[in-house]
Amino acid sequence: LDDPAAWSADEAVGRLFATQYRPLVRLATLLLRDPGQAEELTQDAFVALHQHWGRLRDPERAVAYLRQSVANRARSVLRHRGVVDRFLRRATEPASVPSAEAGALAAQGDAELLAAVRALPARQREALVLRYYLDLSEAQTAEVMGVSAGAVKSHTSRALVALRRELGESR
Amino acid sequence: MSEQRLRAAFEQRAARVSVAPDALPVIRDKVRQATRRRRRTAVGVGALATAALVGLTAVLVGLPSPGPGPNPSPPVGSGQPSTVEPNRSPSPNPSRPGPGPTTVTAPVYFSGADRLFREYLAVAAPAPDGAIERSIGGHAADPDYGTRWPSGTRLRSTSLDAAAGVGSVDLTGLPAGFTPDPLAVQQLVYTYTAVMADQGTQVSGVRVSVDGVPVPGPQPVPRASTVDTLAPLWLISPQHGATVGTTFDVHLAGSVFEAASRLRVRDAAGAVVRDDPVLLSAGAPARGEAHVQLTLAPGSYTLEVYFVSQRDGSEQGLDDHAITVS
Repeated sequence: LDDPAAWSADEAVGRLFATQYRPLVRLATLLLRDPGQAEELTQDAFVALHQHWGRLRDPERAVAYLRQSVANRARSVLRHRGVVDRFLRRATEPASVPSAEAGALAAQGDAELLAAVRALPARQREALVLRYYLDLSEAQTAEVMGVSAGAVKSHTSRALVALRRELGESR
Repeated sequence: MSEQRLRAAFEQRAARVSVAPDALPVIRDKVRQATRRRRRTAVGVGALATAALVGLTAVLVGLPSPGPGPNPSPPVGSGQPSTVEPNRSPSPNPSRPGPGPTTVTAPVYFSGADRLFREYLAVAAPAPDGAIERSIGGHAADPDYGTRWPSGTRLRSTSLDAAAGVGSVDLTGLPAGFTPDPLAVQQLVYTYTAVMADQGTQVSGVRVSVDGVPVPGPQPVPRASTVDTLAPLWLISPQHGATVGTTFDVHLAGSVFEAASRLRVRDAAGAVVRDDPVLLSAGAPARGEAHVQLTLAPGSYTLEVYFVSQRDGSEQGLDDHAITVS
């Protein structure tokens, strides 16, 4: 009897919030360079969902819509912040202090990789996060990003090349 | 660097993300606000059409007074009061800061901390005169704003050379030998040009004179650059002294580095209730703006917008308004 097509917009927001809110905030955190806005941006995506539920009426399409909405909003935040981030990246480049501990080295490796991902162009980072964090297919990633599957393929491979180069250089 | 390592790094980073426990009510609130805003917009469009029809009549018989206090909404369809001249007597009534029998809502610029701030206020019609009088008198809703003109300064007349796109403002009552500083002149230039722009007339410069003698010179003065003239941040609405519902919209504008401003709320005791970053729509040197929804329990609050100096981390550009939430 629980037919999603019969959900009201309020109900849809409540249902999807329960399962999707946390994953979407995490997605937004990975897409943004500054995680501070991840929640607000995700909340706005749910507000937009409420407005468009009449046309979606399907949880699966709604999840795709939410992801797309989060990715678009993250991209627009990043566009605003482009200049600053370039400035900050230069300002906060870590000094290469050798670490004493193996454990710390492992943790550092992770931070190093994430920092390198943050430094990628927005589209490349988006492709990586959607492909390797959400495990979306190329076609699904293309849909969320609003580009062709070929573009996803090239963003992904360029990103991987850039990461390998960046990490190789700093090792 | 393997794809496996990338997956693990994303996974570990994501696992550290925590979410607000009250996010669903926040979303519900935002939905309510968005719905209300959409309805308001729909109503607004209807009202605008009506206003277009009755605009001129409204000015003739007197608009319903929005009061001298807060009125965050810009004027729509307020007609061309300067052509109606219901109030234009040989001596205008400059000592009245409040709305006269016929009022219109107009943008008025005031000085504060060596920069200009703008308020939308009910002023005596016709609008350029009422707004200029209000500006030179420094009668702002926010007591932090004032005027660069000495007390006793009065407006003699305004006029417009429509063909040249140049306005004139003649003042009187100034102490002998008084020379206005550039910001004092800009108070009038910004106010006059803003009022005329609202009426659909582009004015490129304003000639200011005292008892008919031009100051600083005979050339019309254009608007000085916004970056050097306007306060870096404006808390546009709610205006100082406003009473708002428990969920309301905060409108701010400014020109700050990386578009990064902050909005702080203090309760009646001065304790900080919240302090959030607000990203404006554009960063300096452009002037961006932002709308933020706040939900507060009924009471008295002070809203403060400011930005953090890139140089030394100090707070700059504070604009604060005391409001009542009921």
